[in-house]
This record gives sequence, structure tokens and C-alpha cells, in this order.
Amino acid sequence: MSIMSIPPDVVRSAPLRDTSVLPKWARDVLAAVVEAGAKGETVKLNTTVETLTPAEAAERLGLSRATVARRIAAGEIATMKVGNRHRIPVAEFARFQRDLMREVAAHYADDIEHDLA
Amino acid sequence: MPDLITIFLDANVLARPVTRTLLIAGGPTSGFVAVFSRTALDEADRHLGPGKTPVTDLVTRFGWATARTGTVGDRFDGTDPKDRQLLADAVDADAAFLVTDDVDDYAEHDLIEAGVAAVSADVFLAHRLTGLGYLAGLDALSAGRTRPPRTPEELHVALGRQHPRLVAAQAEAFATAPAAPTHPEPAVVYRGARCLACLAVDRTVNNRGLCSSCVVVVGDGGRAGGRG
Repeated sequence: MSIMSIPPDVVRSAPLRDTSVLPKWARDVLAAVVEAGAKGETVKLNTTVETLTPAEAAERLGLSRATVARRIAAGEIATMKVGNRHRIPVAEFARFQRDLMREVAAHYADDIEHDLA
Repeated sequence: MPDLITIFLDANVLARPVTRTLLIAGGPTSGFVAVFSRTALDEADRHLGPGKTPVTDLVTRFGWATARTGTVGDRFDGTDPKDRQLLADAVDADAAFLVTDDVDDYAEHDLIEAGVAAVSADVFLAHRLTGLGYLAGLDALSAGRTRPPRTPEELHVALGRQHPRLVAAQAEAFATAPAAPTHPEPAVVYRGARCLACLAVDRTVNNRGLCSSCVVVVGDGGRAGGRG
């Protein structure tokens, strides 16, 4: 997680020029920064890592909670600790989901072959 | 991350490895999670021919959870007796949809009373699988394959044989025309009162699973709820 601070004098000292080439989300962010600067407000931008609890990950995959706990203990799912609890970054969840589905499909490869024929 | 809706897989869908893989692998990216019960698993294994890999390996080898066994009681009297337990399991799992190859085994009034809609896998996938979910399903299917169809595009073409509505809904993903379907679509592909597009419970839902508002916007083809 990181925080970026933009004080109002910085915004006022360097006015924006053409933003039309930027995507809408960037124009929206800049417009909000300029508006806050005009009011004398400091803008703070936070970045966070979106995470899931092991229970949420299990529910989303249809797996048992014990299975997810076992995969975490085996180091097959990377987690970050919040206090003494595991949290799974969403990107890691996506990586694990993809690998798991490929592993399952490979296990059933002969049946899939027959089904596709 | 957004909430997921729950769908319940009937034994006849669980027994089809390609369809099952698309539903399980593509679900989380598409806003749904596929669940199944012990009854469905056991019946799926009975559907398998000799030499096939047991569907129950999903539980015993990979650690999938099974939904709880629901109580049938004196409910679901219009539904085929052999399917009442599956409907009870779907209701107990709080499933919005029961995905099945035999929609007409389930009585319309039982489904409406239970708040579950029965829908064929192809129609469900056409409406609810997103572009990213479809690619996730194709990616899984391609795992370990050494012969065509192997690439996502080749798999897309081959899927036309059993999932014509799905590949039509995903036509913009690939330039290649899909294979022609090998079987005609069942006469009944949807029963219930939950719209496949907006997910609202609505008594105006037609026999293709769309409410009167969504049928105007979406038409019959699919990609109703599928975004991304």
C-alpha cells in the first residue's frame, strides 16, 4: 500500500493543458485533483491490494475451506498476513484459480478428448 | 470483488466434462459459482461409461465442497421423483439456477415455488458466461492437450457441436466459424421465473429465460448478463 500526497499549491502552480488524449478515468482523476486544489485542499491517493479471506476464496472456487487452508499451508497459495490472519491478494487468487482449473482439466484430459470428438 | 450468484449442476451436466469445465472454470470470472451435491455426484458417476474418470475425483482428489443435502418432504410433487432430491439440494444451496440437460424433468410450478429456474447448460452459458470467463474455460480445456482441438480458437470451433448458443454469443472472440451442432436443441430449455439477463424474479419470463423488459434489449441469442 502506498499514499501519494498532492498539496493545493502544486496543483495551482502548474495548470493542466490538453487532457483530451487521456482516457476518461484519468480525466476524472485530474478533474477531481484540480477541483480540490482550487478549494485549497490536499489530495491523497491511496493504493491498496485487494484481498480475499481463505473462506471467501473457497466459496468463490467451490472448494472446501479445509482444502484452501491446506493449499496455503503447503505454500501453493501465497498469502499476506493481516494480524495473524491470512489474506489472499486477488491477483494471486486469479493465478491459483487458473492453475487449479488447468490441473483439473488435465486430470480429465481423456474424458474431455472423448467429449470433444 | 462483486458477489457471485450460485448455480446448481444437475448430474447430467456434471457427467459432461467439457460443459462442466466451462461452468466451473468460467464461473468466478463471470459472476457465478457452480455447486453440486453428493446425490448429483453419485448419479453423475453412474452416467459415466466404462473407463471414464470419476466425477467424484473433484471432491476426493481436488477438494471441492459438496452442497448440503436438502429436505424433499412432500414438496415438488410435479417433478420426476428421481429428480426431487436434486431440486431440494439446489434450493438448500440457495441456487438461482439449476443447470440441467433435462429441463422438462422439473415441473414449472415446483420451480417457481422453490425460487429456482431450470435452464439448459448451453442457454445458461450463452447468457451468463462473460468473454473473460469463456477464455478462462478455453484455457482450462486446452491444458494437457497435444492434439487438435488444442488452441482456444480450435476449441471454440469444436464447441459449436455441443454448445451452439454459447459459441454464437462469443462469436466476436474469434474469426473462425464454429462447427455445426450435432444434435437439435431440446424442446424445453428453460423453466422458472428468474430472468437470465437481469436475474430478477419475474412472472413475465418467457420460455427462453428472459423477462419482458430484457427480451427487447437482449433478444434470444445470449450475452445478456455477460460483460467483459
